[in-house]
Amino acid sequence: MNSTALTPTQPITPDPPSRPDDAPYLGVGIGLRTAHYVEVLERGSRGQLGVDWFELLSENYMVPGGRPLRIIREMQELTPLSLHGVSLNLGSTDPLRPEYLDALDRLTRIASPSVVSDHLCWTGVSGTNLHDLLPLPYTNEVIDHVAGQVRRVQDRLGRRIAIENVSSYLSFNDDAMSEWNFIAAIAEEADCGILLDVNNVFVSAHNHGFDALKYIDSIPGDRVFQIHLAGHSQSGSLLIDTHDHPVTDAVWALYERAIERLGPVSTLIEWDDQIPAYSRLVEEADKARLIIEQATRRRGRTHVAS
Amino acid sequence: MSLHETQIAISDWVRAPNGVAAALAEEDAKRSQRLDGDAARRLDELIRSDGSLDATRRLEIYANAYFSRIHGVLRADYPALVATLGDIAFNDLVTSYLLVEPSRSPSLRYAGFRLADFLSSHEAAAGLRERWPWASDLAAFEWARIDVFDAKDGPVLARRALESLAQESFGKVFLCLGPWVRLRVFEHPVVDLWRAGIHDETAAGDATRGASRVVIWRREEKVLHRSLERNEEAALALLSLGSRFDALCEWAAGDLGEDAAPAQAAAWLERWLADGLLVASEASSGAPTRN
Repeated sequence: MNSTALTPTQPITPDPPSRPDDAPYLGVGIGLRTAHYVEVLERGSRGQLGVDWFELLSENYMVPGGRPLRIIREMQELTPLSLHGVSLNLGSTDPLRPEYLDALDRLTRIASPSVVSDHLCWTGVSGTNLHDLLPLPYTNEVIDHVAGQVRRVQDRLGRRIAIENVSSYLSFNDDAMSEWNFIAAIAEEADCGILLDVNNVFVSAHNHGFDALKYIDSIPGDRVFQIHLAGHSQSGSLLIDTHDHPVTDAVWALYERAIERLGPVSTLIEWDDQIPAYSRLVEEADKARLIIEQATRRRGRTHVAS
Repeated sequence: MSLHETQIAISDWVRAPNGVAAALAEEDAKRSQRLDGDAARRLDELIRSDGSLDATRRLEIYANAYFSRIHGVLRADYPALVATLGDIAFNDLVTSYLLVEPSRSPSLRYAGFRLADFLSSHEAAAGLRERWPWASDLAAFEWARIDVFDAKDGPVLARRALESLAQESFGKVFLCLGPWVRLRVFEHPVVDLWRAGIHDETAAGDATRGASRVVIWRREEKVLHRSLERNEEAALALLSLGSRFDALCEWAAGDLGEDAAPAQAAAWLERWLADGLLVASEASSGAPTRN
């Protein structure tokens, strides 16, 4: 792999932070997409999935019946699952929707996911949904608000969730802290996990001019439940989180740094548009697995030497 | 500005039909009459601009994504409607629809569920109704196809479950449409119009006139439909709430006459079983029911 050279902002910790008990290391997974249903079930029946786990987009399975629910039942027999939502709307000033939480609770009981996650963002207000992941001002007022929402979700589901950092294209003049301090403070106050999207860190760092390495080095490792990786695109002076390309070399390098610091963390490859053949996604997953294995071996040698 | 005010302002700008810059100009025009400040300044105070991009352009990214994301979903949901109206008219339809019916569901799956109603009754769709009077029917039909795809599951009543019944027990068999079935009555020949749209053909003249009745259902994860005669549609409507077979025969006798009714009811039942329209239950196997 052709990694971009990185300059660590601090030495890599000799021992990775302990992993949360409710977010065990599952290996490397991919986001399950409709186009791959048939192949995944067929490979699964032969024990040749090529990846260690799958993530399901929660809202796609919050339906009364039909194929989506059949897929969950069959996938459960084959592999660990994780649920990832886009409409929990944690950052909105709207109250949480009871019917959405009920649906998520039902889905959680059906899918028995390893991790339930959504995004640190708002997706709509006054009852409307923009179907996008909009950033929040990084202020203490917002930390208190979002942490309260996360706690209410966790109380309703009876489990901790993980919140994902989003790619963003705007920031607020009222921002009073860095994004990594913002997400860390919410995770601490709500006692929830963090889904660290390394591509989103890279994209937002480019778009807002902050240091991606500092972000990775500052995130509280004992709260990182999962890592996401995806491709992005350039649009004018900004990077856009399009999920329609392979993971870039620069993001792989950042991921390598994250794994060196955090140790093995369940990692997911996301690809949502111009979706390639399943085998191509397995190749991306293999790259992530190799990085985890190499980092683990290096850490072992370091321990022997010391 | 509070978090709530911030989100209201951004939501309004992102959903504005002609983009953020136009929305700001419009807002300014309204506000200047009240000497109430200017919207562009409000945006600049809220969102950071830098050398690479100003606040308006940064917000415009979300505004463009809002429209294109929902537009893309509706195009996929309504392929025949898109083909019938053409890209420009469909684009305009989505713009005016979202102004009146912004998405309120957590899932994009439901973003288009009021499109048929909008086409049939909203004044903003009057022009489309005049040019394509069947557009609302087409949208309602395509939505029903989406609706049955992930409708509630249930056991399908199989022919073999009825084969062992004695002749005298047959009248007590309880028949009910499965939750995966939709019955629809249209003012236009919607199946022909849908087929023309899907095959990119132009429907005109007689092909666009005449009411139709259609059953749409899911079988083994495939969405199916077929046109119905008036009396079969009425018979299926009777089964939407459930009916015993003898009650169906009685109803059919009133419609078709005593002599023809039993044979017609039996023929319908054969077809419904073959199609997989009926849900199996204890009552559907002729077991005694409490009345």
